[in-house]
This record gives sequence, C-alpha cells and structure tokens, in this order.
Amino acid sequence: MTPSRTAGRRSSRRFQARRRLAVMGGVISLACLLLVGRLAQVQLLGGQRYVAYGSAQMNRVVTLTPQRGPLLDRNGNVLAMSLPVEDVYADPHQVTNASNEAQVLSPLLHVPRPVLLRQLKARTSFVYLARQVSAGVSAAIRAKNLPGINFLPDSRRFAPDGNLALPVLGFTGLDNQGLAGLEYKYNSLLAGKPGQAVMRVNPWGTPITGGLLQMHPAVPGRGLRLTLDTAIQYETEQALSQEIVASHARSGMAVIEDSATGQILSMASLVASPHGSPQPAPSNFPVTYTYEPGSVMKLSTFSGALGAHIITPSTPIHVPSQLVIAGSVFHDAEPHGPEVLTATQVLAQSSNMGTIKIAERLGAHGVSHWIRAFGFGSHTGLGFPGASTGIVRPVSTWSATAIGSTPIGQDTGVTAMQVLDAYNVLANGGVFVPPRLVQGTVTGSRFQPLPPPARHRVVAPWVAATMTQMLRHVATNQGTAPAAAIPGYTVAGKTGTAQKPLTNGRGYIPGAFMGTFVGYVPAQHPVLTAVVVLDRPTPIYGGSVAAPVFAKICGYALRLMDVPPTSTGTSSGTTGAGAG
Amino acid sequence: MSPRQATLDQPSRQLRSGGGAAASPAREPLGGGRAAPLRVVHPRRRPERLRPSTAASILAVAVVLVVAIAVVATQALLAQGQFRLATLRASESSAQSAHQRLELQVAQLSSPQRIVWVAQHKLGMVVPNQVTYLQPVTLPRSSARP
Repeated sequence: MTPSRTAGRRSSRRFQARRRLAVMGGVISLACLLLVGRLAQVQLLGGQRYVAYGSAQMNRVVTLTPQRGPLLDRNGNVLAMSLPVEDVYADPHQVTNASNEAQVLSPLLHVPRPVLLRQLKARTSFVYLARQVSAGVSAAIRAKNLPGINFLPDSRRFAPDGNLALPVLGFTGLDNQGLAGLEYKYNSLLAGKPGQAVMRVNPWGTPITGGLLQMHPAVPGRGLRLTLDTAIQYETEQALSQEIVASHARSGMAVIEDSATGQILSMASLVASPHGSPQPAPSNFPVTYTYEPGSVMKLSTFSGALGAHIITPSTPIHVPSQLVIAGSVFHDAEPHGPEVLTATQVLAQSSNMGTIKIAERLGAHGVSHWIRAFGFGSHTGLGFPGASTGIVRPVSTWSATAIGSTPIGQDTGVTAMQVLDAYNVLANGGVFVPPRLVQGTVTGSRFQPLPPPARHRVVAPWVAATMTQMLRHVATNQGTAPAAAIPGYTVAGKTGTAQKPLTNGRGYIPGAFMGTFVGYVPAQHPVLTAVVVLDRPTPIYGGSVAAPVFAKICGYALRLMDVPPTSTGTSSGTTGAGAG
Repeated sequence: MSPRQATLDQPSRQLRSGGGAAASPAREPLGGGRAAPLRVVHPRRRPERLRPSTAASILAVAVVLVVAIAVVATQALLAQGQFRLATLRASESSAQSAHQRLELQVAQLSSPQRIVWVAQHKLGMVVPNQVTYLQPVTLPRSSARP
C-alpha cells in the first residue's frame, strides 16, 4: 500500500468521524433545544395549569355547610331548626369487598342490598349511599371501618311540632334550600354562607394532621322570630280540624291577627283527608286561595255610604223581596216580602236587597273605589310566596248586573287575608295596618326587629266607630252569627256565604258554598281580629260553621293573652282544648 | 536556621553571651574547670493554635445542628398542638351537636300536642266545659273597712 493511499484513507476516516460528531452534536443540540422548549412550555406557558394539577392532587377543598337559621315563634319556641347530620358516600375504587359491605350497610341505611351492591360496584369515584343520616347511624357505620365508605357533613331540618303551621313555614329540600313558605321567602337570610377549607391530603386522600392550608368558616344563617304563637296556632288548627270533620267541609282556613300591630298569631290551612283527621294544605290558603267572599264584602259599600253621608245606622231602607237588574234576578237567602229595615238591620241580617239599594245610591264608581280602598285587588304587604291579589274588575269592565252582584261579594275574588285586613281597618279606627309574619331576625342571642310597615288611613275614625257599632249586632240573636259570641266579650263581625263559581267562570257549582266569618274582639278596644273560612261545609252558612270556630279560637287566645272580659258581672263560656 | 535549632545547638553560647548572664557573676565550672556535658533539652510541646477557618466550620456545624434540632422540636410541638387543636375542634363540634339535639328534644317535649296528650292520657286531665270569670265587686266607700 502506497503512503498516499494510506493518507487518503486516514483523511476519509477523519472526515467521517467529524461528520458523525457533527451529526451527533446536532442531534444532541436538537434534543436539548426540544427539552428547553418543552421546559419553557411547561414552566412558562402552562405553569399555572400544572400547579393547579399538582394542587388538586395534594390539596382537597372541602365546602363547609352553614348551619341554617332556626324559625322561632313569638315566645322563642322552636318551630323549625337544623341539626348537623352526615351523608354517607362510597368511593367504589377503594371498596375491597362490595358484597360484604353491602350486606353490612343494608340494615343500617335501610337500603336494599342489591341497590347498595350496584352502587358500590359503580365505575365512579363518588356515589351517595344515603343522605342526611342521623348521628347514631353514621357512628355505627364508622365503627365498622369499611374501606371506601366515607362521610360528608350536612344538616337536616327538623320541625319539633310536626306539621304545625306547615303551610306557613314551608319546607326545605335535600340541599337545605327553602322550597316553600317562609323557608323559601327568607332563604337567603336563613341559609347563611358556605365556608371552605383547603387541606393537604396524602396519596390516599386522607387529610394530613396539621395540613390545613386555608380556612374560611361557614357563616351560619340568621334565625327568624315569627309573630306566630305556638299555643294559639295549635288551638286554631285543632278547632278548624274539628269543624272540617263536623261540617264535612273540603278544606278550611283561619287566621288570627293582633289588631293593633297586624302581627299574625296563627294561620291555619287544612284539607279534609279520607284517611283520618285533616292534613296541612298544599299551600298557605289564606294568602294564595282566591274565592268569592259573599256578604263580607258588604263592608265596602256600607263604609263608603256612611262616609258619603248617604246612610246612617238608623236610615230606613226599603227592602224588596227581589230585584231585577239587567234581566238578572237578585234575592236574599231567606224569602221575605217587601220590608223596611234600618241600615244596621240590613247589615246585621246581611240583606242582599238592602245592600244593593244602598250601593245604587253610592254608585258603581263609589262601590269600586271603596272595595279597592280596603285593600281588595292588591297585595296585603305580607309578601308571602304565591300570594294572590284577588280579582277586582275596574268599573269600565263591569257588566250591567255588576252593580247588583259586586256589592254583595260576587264577581270579585279575594283572599281570606284581604278580608281579615279589611275588617282590621275598622278595628284600628279606620287605619290599614299591614299584616306581619316576621318580628325580626335572631343572631345568636341578639334580636334585630324588622321595621314596622307603613300604615295608611282608609276611612274616618267616626266611620270605623259607626261600622263597629253596626257590626256588633251581627254576633247577637238579631244577627246572622250568634254563634260568634264570646261570653264576657263583645264581638263585631260579619258572615259571608258565597257560592263557588265554576272554573270556566260561567255560573256557579250547584250546592257548593264558602262559609266565612270575620270579626274583631273586644269590639270596644279590639285586641284580636280573625277570619275563618270553610270550603263546602254542611250547613253552608258562615254563621253556622265558621262563627263557632271564631268564638272558640278567639276565646282561647283572649284567655291566653290575659285580656279581661269587657262585660260586667260574672260571665262564663265554653272552652276548647288549650295547650298552654 | 530556625530559632528552635539555635536554642538546641548553642545553649552555652547563649548562656555566655546572654544579656542577663552578663550582669550576674560568672560561676566557676564544676569539676576543676571542666565544662559540664551538654544535654538535649526537649522543647515544651505547646498546643498548636487552630486555624480560624476550622473554628468557623465547627461553629457553623454546631449552629446548624442546634437550629435543626430547634426546628424539629418546634415542628413536633406544632404538630402536637395542631393535633390537640383538631381534637378540641372535634370535641367542640360534637358538644355543639349534642347541645342542638338537646334543644330539639326540649322543643319536642314542650310541643302543644305532646302537652295535651300527656295531660289527657297520662295525667287524666279533661278540658273544662265552662270557664268562669270572677270580677271583683267595687264596694262603696262607706262599707269599706279601714
């Protein structure tokens, strides 16, 4: 081999080596560049995301359920309160023996074993086994130390008095959200604000001792002190329930209000049940149920006519046996011949003919004005969920017969609460006092009263006083509701017996009536105003079915509130089953 | 030559020519004028001084050890305190739950329907048919006793 060839080979090898080195250097440089690029991508562009991934694996965020505020009655008795309970859930990935665990849990949770087995084998990392179990049950399950079975803090609403005032209080759902009644209306206030705890956990998800990173405690909800009185509420429901059963009514409602303050002491809504005693109504009837009021509406016509000096209590009214208005025949409940009654007698005997005669003198606009002035056709100010304004037609849409039907409580829809508040105007000397169900909020032991709503005058004091004098005759033997009398006290009130209209608005349901009594007591210095309404009772008259309930519940409340009898001498009266 | 070597090799010379020796009277050599035999004097061994860097290192290690022990001890105390806190919190929560359960129980026991039921069925009470109100009669002044 010649030296020149050898040198050429050496040169070639050196060249190849350099090339390999260059290629390797390039590859390594490229790899380094890729690594640097990836590092920049991870650290700079997606840094926050990966930090979040890491935190999610290391930290667990636990939402702290706030304690829902209690509902108390006016004396501080608990009507509804929340207790801490626990939810039982499973992480099926950590369950080692699903069959055995289902066998153990089934009798404790009262859930069929196959259902539990299916849940424990589900392809998920979270499944509820039971919600809101009692402390005893959760302690029993915890003692079993079952793998994959865990607990979440929760709270549950309890009503110590059972169904007492249920339509008023409402109820909450599984997530402690108010769904009806006051629980719904004041949900934001009662619910409180959830808290949050961030804690470090080990790879198995168990919190590390001392690993609490952040803690924002839950803010418990505020409590509500209501105006209801538990004892009066109980008595009202008992008396109403007995009357629904006795009169075979479909349902009933009753409200007692503190005349001066408008604070509602009891509010009951019951529906008949074929399986026993009446049950709580599905909604708060006194504010949600609209019906034709009947003769209790005569208040507007009489007050307007008195204020306009059209009548006085002793004005003689020529009452015919019947009236024909625009082809429609109007008559009184009881047939009678033409007669002359005083205005007071017309009201006491609830004469439709006499009332229509007075309404004709007041005029359609006058009647309509006074109906609205007493609050019919508008909200009472209670602000209860689902409250109805009733149906009051403007004069421009009145039919030709409306001047006959409207003053006697037909062609108009009202709620029992509106009727009560209208008569409470008279009890307060002509001033409208908005009703109230909530006295104020309670935080711990601190009570924060709600400001009283604004009042306004409806009729002159002398009109209210005159009306009271006239209404006192209703609860006597000369009136339509002697059963409303409370021995020892003077009652002023009015009965109403109204037909129930067909749902299509064309005519009335045969034989279906609403019986009402509304009044206040003692008439001289009213303390209580109350209304009682029964749906399709037998007998049909408000004076026969609603008035006795009025006497019973108001008599009880007067004694409970230590209101002395107003009559002179010794008096006695019947009582109901009192609770306190 | 180092000063140490000089001390070993020339002790007599140093004695003779030392500043202090020059001032004192010369002693007569023992043994009839013969000089005493020389002997090796071992220098006293003095401890070697630590270098500053070594001392600093030892100090630093000691400080680190002390700090480490302090940190571990603090962490242990902290963990112990947190564990106690967690236990107390659990205890407080449990007591609150028990209190609320008792409140509910009180409310249930004082509910009107229970009171009526107990009164009627356990105590044998009955609702009176009539309630009589007695009102005081105002006597004339003349008949009133002093």
